[in-house]
Amino acid sequence: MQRFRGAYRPIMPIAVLRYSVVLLTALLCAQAALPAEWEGQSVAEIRFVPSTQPLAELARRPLLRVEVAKPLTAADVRLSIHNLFATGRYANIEVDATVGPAGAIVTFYTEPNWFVGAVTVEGVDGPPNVNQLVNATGLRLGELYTPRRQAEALSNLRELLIVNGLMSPLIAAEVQHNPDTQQAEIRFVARHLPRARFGRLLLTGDSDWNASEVGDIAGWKPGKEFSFERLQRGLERLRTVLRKQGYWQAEISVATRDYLADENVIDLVINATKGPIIQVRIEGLELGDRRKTRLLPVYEQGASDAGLIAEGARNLRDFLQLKGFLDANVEYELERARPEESTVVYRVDRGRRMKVASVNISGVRYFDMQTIRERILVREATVRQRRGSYSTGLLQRDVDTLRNLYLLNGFRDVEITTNLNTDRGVGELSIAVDEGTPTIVSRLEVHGDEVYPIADRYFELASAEGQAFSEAQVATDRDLILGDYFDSGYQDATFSWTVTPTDDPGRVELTYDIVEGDRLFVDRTIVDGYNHTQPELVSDQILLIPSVPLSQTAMFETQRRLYDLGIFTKVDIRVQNPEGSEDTKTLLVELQEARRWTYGLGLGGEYGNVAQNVGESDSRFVPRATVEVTRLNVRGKGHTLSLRSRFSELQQRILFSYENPRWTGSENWKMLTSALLDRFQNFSTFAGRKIEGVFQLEQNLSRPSTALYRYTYRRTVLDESVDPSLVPPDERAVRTALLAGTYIQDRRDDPTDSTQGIFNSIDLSFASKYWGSEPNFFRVFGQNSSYYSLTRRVVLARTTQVGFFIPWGPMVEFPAANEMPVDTPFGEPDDRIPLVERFFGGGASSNRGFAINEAGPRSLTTGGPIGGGVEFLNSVELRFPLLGESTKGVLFHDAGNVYSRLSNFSFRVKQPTGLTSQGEEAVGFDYMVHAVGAGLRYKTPIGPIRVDVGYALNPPRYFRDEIHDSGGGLPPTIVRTEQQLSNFQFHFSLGQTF
Amino acid sequence: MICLKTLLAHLTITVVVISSSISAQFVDRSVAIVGDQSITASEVALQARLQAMANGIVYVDTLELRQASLSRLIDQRLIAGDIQLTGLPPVSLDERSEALAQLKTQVFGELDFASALEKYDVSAEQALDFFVSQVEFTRYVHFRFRIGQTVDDAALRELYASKYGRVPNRDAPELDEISAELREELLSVTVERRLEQHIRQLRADNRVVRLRPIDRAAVAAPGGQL
Repeated sequence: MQRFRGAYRPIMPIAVLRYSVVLLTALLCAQAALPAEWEGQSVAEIRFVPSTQPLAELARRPLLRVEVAKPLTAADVRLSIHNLFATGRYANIEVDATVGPAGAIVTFYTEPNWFVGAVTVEGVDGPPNVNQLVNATGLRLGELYTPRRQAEALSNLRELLIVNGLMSPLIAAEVQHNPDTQQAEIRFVARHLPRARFGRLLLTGDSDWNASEVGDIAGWKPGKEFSFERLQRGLERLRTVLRKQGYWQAEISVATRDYLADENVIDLVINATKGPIIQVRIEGLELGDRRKTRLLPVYEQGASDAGLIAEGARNLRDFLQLKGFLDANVEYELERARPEESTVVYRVDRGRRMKVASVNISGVRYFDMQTIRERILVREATVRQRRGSYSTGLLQRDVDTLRNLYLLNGFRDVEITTNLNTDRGVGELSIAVDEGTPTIVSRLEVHGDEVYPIADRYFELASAEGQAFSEAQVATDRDLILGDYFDSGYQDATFSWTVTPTDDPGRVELTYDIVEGDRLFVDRTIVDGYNHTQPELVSDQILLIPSVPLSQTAMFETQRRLYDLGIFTKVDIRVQNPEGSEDTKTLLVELQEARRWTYGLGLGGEYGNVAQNVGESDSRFVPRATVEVTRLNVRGKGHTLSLRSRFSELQQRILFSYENPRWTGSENWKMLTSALLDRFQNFSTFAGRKIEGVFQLEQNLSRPSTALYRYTYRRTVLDESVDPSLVPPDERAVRTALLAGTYIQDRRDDPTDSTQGIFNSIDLSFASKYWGSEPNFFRVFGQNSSYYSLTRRVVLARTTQVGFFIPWGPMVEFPAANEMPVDTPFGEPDDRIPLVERFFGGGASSNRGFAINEAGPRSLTTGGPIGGGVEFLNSVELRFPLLGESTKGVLFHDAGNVYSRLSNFSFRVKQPTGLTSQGEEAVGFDYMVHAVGAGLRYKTPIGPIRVDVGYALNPPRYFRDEIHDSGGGLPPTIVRTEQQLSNFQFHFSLGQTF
Repeated sequence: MICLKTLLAHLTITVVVISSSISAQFVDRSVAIVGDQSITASEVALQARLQAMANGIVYVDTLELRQASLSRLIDQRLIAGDIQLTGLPPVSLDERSEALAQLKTQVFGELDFASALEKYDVSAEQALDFFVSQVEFTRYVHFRFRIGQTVDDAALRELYASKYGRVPNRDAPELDEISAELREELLSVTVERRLEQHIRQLRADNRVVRLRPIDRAAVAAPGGQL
């Protein structure tokens, strides 16, 4: 016995085994035969493992059918599992029960679902670019992220890389789970061989090309880097070449592409099938190529099916009818000389040219005739439209417009017939309307709007009782009702309607059936993707805060507000787990910050007066360099700091600005602070330096209206090069401080190239010693511009600009250019307005009869412009198409000038002349200079490039003293000579004049 | 005589076994996801019992049977979704009552029905739901795959030849006599094939996931899973 002490001794293993098996079998048999032990037990406790759950306890409670102190049943457990699953938040659920003395403890073991968060793709040197790669994954923010979706994403990415010549791609997906948000950030990291290159080209089909020619045309020379975009571009080039030869149905495709791994090249077999030659012949009408392309879709769409050929015939007919050939007839035929060659023949019979003498509309009782007339496009001849406006297509459009108008107003049986009579050599068009009787809604019932009643809404239904009945009105109501439901969180609301005739044939009963569905609310908003922006700035823009209804409009508005900050290149807003049944939804906002630093370097040129000496200018082209540095999102607050500088012989300027686009957090207020250092030389009278500081608040009053409130402090110093007689040395430096307010009303369709609308502005500025100014004055400057589309592409534009000074108090006098030795019988500028603050006019954006800043009063000795106290300009421009879509022509007339004082403003066209006290001839400058001219505009993405040639009809004469060396030690003599500004002025600029 | 140690050992084992039986007992779990719905283990078991009851066979719980039942449930869910999309009218209350009456009287008989319910451990409501779903399914198949189907005469002749030979003997029925029957047979085959194809397509278009048991140690660990 001793030998077993202290050592392990098995306890009758066989007996134990036997015992256990018997016991277990008995228990299992009991379990199989009887209901489970937990069945019917009172629930003592419900546990969830892990303790952190996708749904908070409050959200879980209504979903659980298993309740404490209630008997535990299989059906309740099953229903609880289903309800939890339906939320879309769970990936897996298991339920156990432990039966104890107090009852059953029920434990839910869960695994969460994960939703797509930020998706990034790294390791690919494009093309394809990052956006294309991310899009290719097919993973959308907030959607369920599953292994299947990941596999699809990988497969799509792999395919995209291969079609771009990035062969043997190896892509790994790294997923980072965020348990707090259930979001999965997915990072795809790709590795691939160096980009494959174009290899050998083989050709099939019936084209006349050889492989080398195909490579040249398509840009696929062997050795060139392969990309999908380059491949497609090449195919399109090949198609274009064949189309130009008349092969409109040519088919160019890649038959096979073989990758040769050893050489890392892709061999292509290109199938080029020319198809038949299709030519177009128009008999009876001469048309230019551009017009042919525009009118005949055979050219435009590169196809020649019967529908397109017929459409071409209709276009030709309409084109001729609009030119006055009202009886024009166009027939067409497809001629096949050979199987591989066909010709589309349009036979045009123009008929007589005539005008539309009358457009008679009869049978209109419900509407007044103006309502009808303003909706139709066919017109009888007028002074503006000599032949009127008629074509079959236009008339059909008018008939459709009128029919819709009647249908909208309940005239369901309206009939409209037309007849054009040309028997008398003019077109007499009659439009007969048979209105029928209107159908009225006698009763409208709305069902199903129990929770959110229609009666409580702010809008009125179009199909209310007593209103006309039409499907279009019902559709309007549907859009209103559903739009309001969607905005109120009822994302699944549906609308249907039924109409029931009544005994009265003109009346119907209408029923709207609404299924409201569940109302969704915002649970929380998760914002991701920003590193530098302050969270408060982002959260201030988010309208969807917890517990507000989930509204599509609010989502779009939030997106717009975030984009408007100007610091994000991408704002994606989605609902997390969109398929889930929860009534509170998590909103995801995925942001991508823009690059914070941007740099720009520009080289160019400008044309203008380069002052050699005061009073002498030389108009020429000078080079210009610009440097721009911008820092976005300063301190993460969405502010912008920028430095813009411009250097040329004419001007050296550095501008620092700091902009807060949401001053005090409001979208309607913007703050701008700027500092300007400017060395100017574009006045022939003087040159100088300017230091300016501006503090400006911009208030957005309404969509077209803006108010600006501004304080400007400016110190201007005229340089030594200024003729001392012009400005006394001690008055060369002027300090001006302005408090100003500007109101702008802008209703133009396109500020860079307006075709219709108006623009008004009024600027009031006060300069006073009380806020640091040396001169004291009140300045007003106003502008009124309007734009009219005469035809689709012809625009008449006009503007009137008026500005004047009202100086006050004899504070400081600025004699400026009012030289003493010479007197004049005409008005002079008020010497309380310093030279540099006065109005100067002339140039590309002013009166184009003058060179830049050459308008208005002039020095009586040097003859250079000295500015004035009043500016007036009236410009009229006719803008019309000239060459294609990009080049426009302009004819203009400018009238105006810079006047010495308000009291001397005049419309007279002849320059005033008179005599000085010494009996010498003198001229005045207070008259209106008229200029006519023409220009060209070339459209670019940043606005049109502008070239204008102005011809001044009455340019001013002026006198200047020229100093001549008398020789022989004698003092120089001053000779007074007469000068006249040139009639012709040339201007080059960017943007429309106004 | 059993020594004290042996007695203690027996007692320990008894406690372990019994305590294991009164500790956590499996109640239910999700075994598959179809679209955004789950299928639980208890539903699979019920389906297996109902199927056995409908076929009048003895219910024996085997893995194969459960797998077959799960597969059938998945198809049912997919088809239920398709029925909703196609807008087929649901089975009316009258049709339900009729199905119940038929179930009681024709399929089982009043007395047998009650004992069958007990034998297969299903409630009358569960049995009715099962049979109603069968009615719904039959109707779906009819509308979706049967209506508009025609049988080609050549195929009919081919089937006849396959059954009775190219030159039928004298005992063989005339083709005209049994053409309706053969036509029905061919239609059934076509419908069956189309249904199978459609279900394959539904499986490809929808999210169908068979779930593995949860790794409880992993989810219970601090910071585990969520």
